[in-house]
Amino acid sequence: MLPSDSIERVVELFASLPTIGKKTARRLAFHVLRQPAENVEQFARALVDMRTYVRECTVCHTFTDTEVCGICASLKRDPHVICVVEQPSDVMAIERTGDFRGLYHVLHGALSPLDGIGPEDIRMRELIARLGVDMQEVILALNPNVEGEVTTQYIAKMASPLGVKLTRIARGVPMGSDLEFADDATLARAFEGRVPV
Amino acid sequence: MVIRSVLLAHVRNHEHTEIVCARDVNVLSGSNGSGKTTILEAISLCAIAKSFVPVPDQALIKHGFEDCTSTVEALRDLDVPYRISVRVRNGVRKRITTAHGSSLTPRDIIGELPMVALSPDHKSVTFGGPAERRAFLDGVMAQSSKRFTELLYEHRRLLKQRNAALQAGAFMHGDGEELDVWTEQFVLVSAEVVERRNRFLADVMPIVCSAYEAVSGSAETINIVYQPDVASHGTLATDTLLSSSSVAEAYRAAARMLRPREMARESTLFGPQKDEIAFMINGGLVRETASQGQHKSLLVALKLAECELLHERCNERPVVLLDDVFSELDRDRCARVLERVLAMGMQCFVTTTEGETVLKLMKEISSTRGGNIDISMITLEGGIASYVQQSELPLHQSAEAA
Repeated sequence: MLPSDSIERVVELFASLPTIGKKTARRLAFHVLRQPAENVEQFARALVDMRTYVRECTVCHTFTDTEVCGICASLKRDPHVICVVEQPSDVMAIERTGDFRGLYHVLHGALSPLDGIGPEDIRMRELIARLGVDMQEVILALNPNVEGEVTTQYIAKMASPLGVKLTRIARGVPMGSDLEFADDATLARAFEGRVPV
Repeated sequence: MVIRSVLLAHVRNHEHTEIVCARDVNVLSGSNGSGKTTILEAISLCAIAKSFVPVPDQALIKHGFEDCTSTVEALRDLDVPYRISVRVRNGVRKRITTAHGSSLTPRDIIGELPMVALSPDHKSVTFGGPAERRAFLDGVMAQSSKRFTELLYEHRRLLKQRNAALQAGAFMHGDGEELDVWTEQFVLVSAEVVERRNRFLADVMPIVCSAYEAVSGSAETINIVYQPDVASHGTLATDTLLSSSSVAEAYRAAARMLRPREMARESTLFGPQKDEIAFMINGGLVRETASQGQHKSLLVALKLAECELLHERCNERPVVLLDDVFSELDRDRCARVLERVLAMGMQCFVTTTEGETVLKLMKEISSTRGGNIDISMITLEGGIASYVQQSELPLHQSAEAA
């Protein structure tokens, strides 16, 4: 038990964040206490501002400060190719590669009846609406688990009448590692997804 | 794999116990409730991330403590050290640590330390219902193939999701596309499970037969008949092999046929979770016709076959845990089991209330095999271990001798 109720409250709040336990929360709280008051104020304001100003891009639904995000607004990017991902953090991951020149679509989740998530609860209708005649390719880059797989199949089913070319990212052996160290589940998947040379 | 030491911290009645293991046989002796089986459970926790008997993980934690830890240090057959530590805490995910990382999941480690356990609880494999036999088969297959472990997890998850979709009335929206997609994925994964189970059982049959002959000393015919649920809907062509594509086709037809009933019951009514694996002896069902002795022989034969198979598939000799089998099996069967396990060069752990009798039996077997069997006997009382007979050979020497 801490001698101060306000410290206790901050610790509780920090501990409610993902991957932060009680011990780390206490460390963070004491660290904040030792900071100059203006730094703390800045920190608090940044949090509030983020919550106030960040919203979903009206086109791709990733998080942004503006009506349309920088990627969707860019003239240098290919608007005829869309990459579909589950979370805004996936956009960042793909952007880090610097190889993808198209646009994104963020679903904000995957189908999961156990969590009560159906097609209406993710940005599915918005995706279908984007698939016009001039769309050349839709790349599905969802997580390689049961829910991601089913969502991929669902999109394929909904998009197939529109005649858009649909592709999915490959699954297999990671770069820079030896085959003998790949686990057999991954290796088996890599065999299923083999390509002609 | 040879276990060098087991460390238990707050596991059941063990406060802090460290066991240094002998290369071949480790006899754990003590009265009831002295903590013999707990040592086997600790090994099991490190091998398959749970006890080999169906108990909740929390039951392993010593009363009055928040967590328990089991640590095993072992040596692979290729002399590479392997260390694993599993920590169970109330209300939190198990923490599994090996050289590969500190937050592994059970599926990362299953099969790394192959293990075969035989305990009185396993009687249900031959006596009990289909679920017990499926669990047995899945357990063996999961240890021998990571891909199958993955498939089992996928199947379980898809089944839950599909049931949830049926309960949520996913078929009400649109034209039922969402349910269709869940069904198709479930069908694909289920078909692969069926194909693999079928292939595995065909491989395992001759091994079980020869093991049964060795255990029972009689020439009764044993047969294992796989009765997949897919064959019961009348949608599978009778003369086809159980390939994943033909099974998937049959499941799809079954799904269409069962759809109205599934919607009414809000639950999945087909799939490998309904398979039966029937054991036959002399043409009759074991569950209905076998004598007590035949049940025991068959169970032991299955476990010996499991040893052989895991050795072959994992390229690693499994560790054998024999929990109180001497009270269940007669002396002859016990001797045959131990002889066979030792002949395969596998390390075993035996719990018993009659340590001296077992030790004598072991020495007899040892003398017939040239006396080069490394035996250690550990007596337990109230969760405290003491050595009666220490391992005679230092581990590296005995490993060479083997």
